[in-house]
Amino acid sequence: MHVPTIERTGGAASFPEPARPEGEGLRLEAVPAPLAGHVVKGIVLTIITFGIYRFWYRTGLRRYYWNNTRLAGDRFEYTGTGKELFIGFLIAIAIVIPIYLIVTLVGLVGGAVLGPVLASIIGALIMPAVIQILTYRARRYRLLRTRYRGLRFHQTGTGIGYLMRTLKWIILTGLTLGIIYPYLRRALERYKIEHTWYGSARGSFSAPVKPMMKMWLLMWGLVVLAMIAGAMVSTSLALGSGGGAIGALLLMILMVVLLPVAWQAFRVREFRAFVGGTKIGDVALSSDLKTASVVWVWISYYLMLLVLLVGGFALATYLAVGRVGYFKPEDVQDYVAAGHGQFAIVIAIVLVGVLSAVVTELYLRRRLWALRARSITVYNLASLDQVIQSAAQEAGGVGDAFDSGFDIAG
Amino acid sequence: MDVSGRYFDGVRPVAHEVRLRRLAQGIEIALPEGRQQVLWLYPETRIDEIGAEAHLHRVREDLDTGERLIVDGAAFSDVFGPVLKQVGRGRAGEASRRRVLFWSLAAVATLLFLYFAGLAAFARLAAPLVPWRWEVALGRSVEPQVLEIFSKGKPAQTCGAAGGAGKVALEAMVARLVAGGKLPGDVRVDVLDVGVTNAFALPGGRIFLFRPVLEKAEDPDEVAGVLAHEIGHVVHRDSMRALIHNGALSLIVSAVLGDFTGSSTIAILSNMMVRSAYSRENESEADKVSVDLMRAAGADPRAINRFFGRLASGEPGKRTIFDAFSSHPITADRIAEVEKLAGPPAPSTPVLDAAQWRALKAICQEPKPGS
Repeated sequence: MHVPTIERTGGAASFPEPARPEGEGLRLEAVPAPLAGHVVKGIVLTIITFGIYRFWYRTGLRRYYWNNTRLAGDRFEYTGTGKELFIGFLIAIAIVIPIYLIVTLVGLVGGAVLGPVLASIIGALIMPAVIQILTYRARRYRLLRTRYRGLRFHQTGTGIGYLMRTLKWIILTGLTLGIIYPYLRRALERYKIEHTWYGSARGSFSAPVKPMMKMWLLMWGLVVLAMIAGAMVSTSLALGSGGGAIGALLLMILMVVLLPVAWQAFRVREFRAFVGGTKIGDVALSSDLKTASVVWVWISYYLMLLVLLVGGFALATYLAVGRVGYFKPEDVQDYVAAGHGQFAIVIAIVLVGVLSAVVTELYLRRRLWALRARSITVYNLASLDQVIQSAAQEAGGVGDAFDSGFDIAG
Repeated sequence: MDVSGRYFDGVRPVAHEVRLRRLAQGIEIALPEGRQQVLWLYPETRIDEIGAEAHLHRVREDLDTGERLIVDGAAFSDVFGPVLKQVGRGRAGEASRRRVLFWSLAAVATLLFLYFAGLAAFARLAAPLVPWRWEVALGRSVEPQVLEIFSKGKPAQTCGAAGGAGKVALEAMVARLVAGGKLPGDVRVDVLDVGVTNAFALPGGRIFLFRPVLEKAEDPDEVAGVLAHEIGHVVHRDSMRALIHNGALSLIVSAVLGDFTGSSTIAILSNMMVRSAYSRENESEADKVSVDLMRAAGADPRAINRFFGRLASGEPGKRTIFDAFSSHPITADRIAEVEKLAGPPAPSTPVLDAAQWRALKAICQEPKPGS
């Protein structure tokens, strides 16, 4: 297997590798179709139905994102249904919750017999392990319900295999104090991509860690710095010595500005490396996602949330008191204790909740989706001619519904 | 009349330019270059959308064949408008209505069972299995918050100091009661200088009596009866039960509602439920322990009834939500039950002598240490 490496020499952004076939690549398109009405309707119905509508809402959102992602003029298709998710959920309620309670009880008996340490280890391991397996199964479900030009994607591999890989790399990452975390990410992505199929075309993966590593080390250093700042604050609090203010300022800058930005920069580099290292059959990909544009999406999103919260607070006080302004905390406490304005506060909370969910979908998820999709270039699309749909039957049945019930990721 | 469109055969991801013809039984798709034409029967045909483009797919024997048609929307409507009613509906492989109904009923049955019986049974089985040390640690961590709630935000003061006369009397009372029972661990009792008539047991054997309980009691056995009732909650590990019940319930509520409605709803709901978890059954069990401990200590098991009876008759208007007896009313049933358990009246000696009783009564008038 050829290993493509992305290196920029002399500042010229050239991709001379043989892995990139001759000819221009094609960009993915993200069609800006209207979404707001769908989101508002979905959230309101979800609230009215005590959450039951969420399966149909989520399906509708997926259909939106898939359908509006287009390649060479043809759209991706999401063929899952709300009913599938709903029946998976029912099965989960009917069977899995009682099983879960029984397992917990067995764990507690184990704790009574074998000691609390063992019980807590088991308790702390089982849940994340199950979630890890289900995350992998949920990806299988989504791929099975994804089509392009009539052909289906699917996923082989097992949740247990994915879990074992995760465990191995968590241990290694722990032993190296987190420094090799990018290798963990790459190992998991490799497992996913190499078990991904489009018809008869199998995914292959060979991404370099180098482009991500520098940013990860910076991130790691910032975390150490944040720990030092935290220690400064707590010792100055405990001993009454100086350095507390400096530590607090440093900690704030780190937590609010530097760490989130570094994290996003790392994720963007990772995205570029992983997309660039992914091939489906002979179709190769690359991404030129920019950190600045992703960070800007996040900043504007948080600003909008802030405006919403302030507006919601103003609305609540207006509805409760009839005027907006500064109130002494004691006045507010007395007022609320006297039973006034509770209804207004509930209204304001619901309104802010609904609006922030709308803002999150429209101004965070959709913009990130569009940025990511448009950053991707697809090469050698003509090789799709060689792909045929494997003879495997359409997946169905309880196992699949089970997957959908635990369709937890996204 | 023909419509031109793009056709995918579901085998290769390659578009074919095709012409569609409306037949009586379905859509005839004419492929180029002499390939055999394809016929989609109307019931096999599914319409994804008709907009600027019409998107169609085909379902045979409940399987998505992967075949796709993309046609100009207006032209499609013109030609196929009259037959749209014959076109099939739904996606391939969807659960039948019967299956949805079956699993809905199963899910509802599970939820009802868990709510009315399963969770309580689970909490009863699980609570004694939790190591006592955990419960003690838990009690320590929640104590400050709970006290703050009862003292309405001001730091709560406990009465008496270690070695003081009041504290010694209280400890003597506890020791006599505890001697007659099987406890999972030590109990620690304090009197809270807060003006509500209440007593409660936190996880880990931490018991608080409120000042008015001492003020309103007319003899030491009345206080001892209330205390023994709280010790009963410790014996049965009721706060652990409530915690487990509550935790399991909020887990289920969040599973049913989804993360959507937010954790606040779940917190409110599970808070409401905790009252049902601290159920009438738990109260009767604690009453039973109270009677047993009082009898073992040679004291009067009926004293608790006298105390509750006096509370029930006095000043009903002045109760607040912090009074235990507004959220857990002393029912006639409970009083009758205690009466029955106590059996025929027998001679008893009070748990404390007169001097100890005076000291206990005065515990909140003792000078505060360090003030």
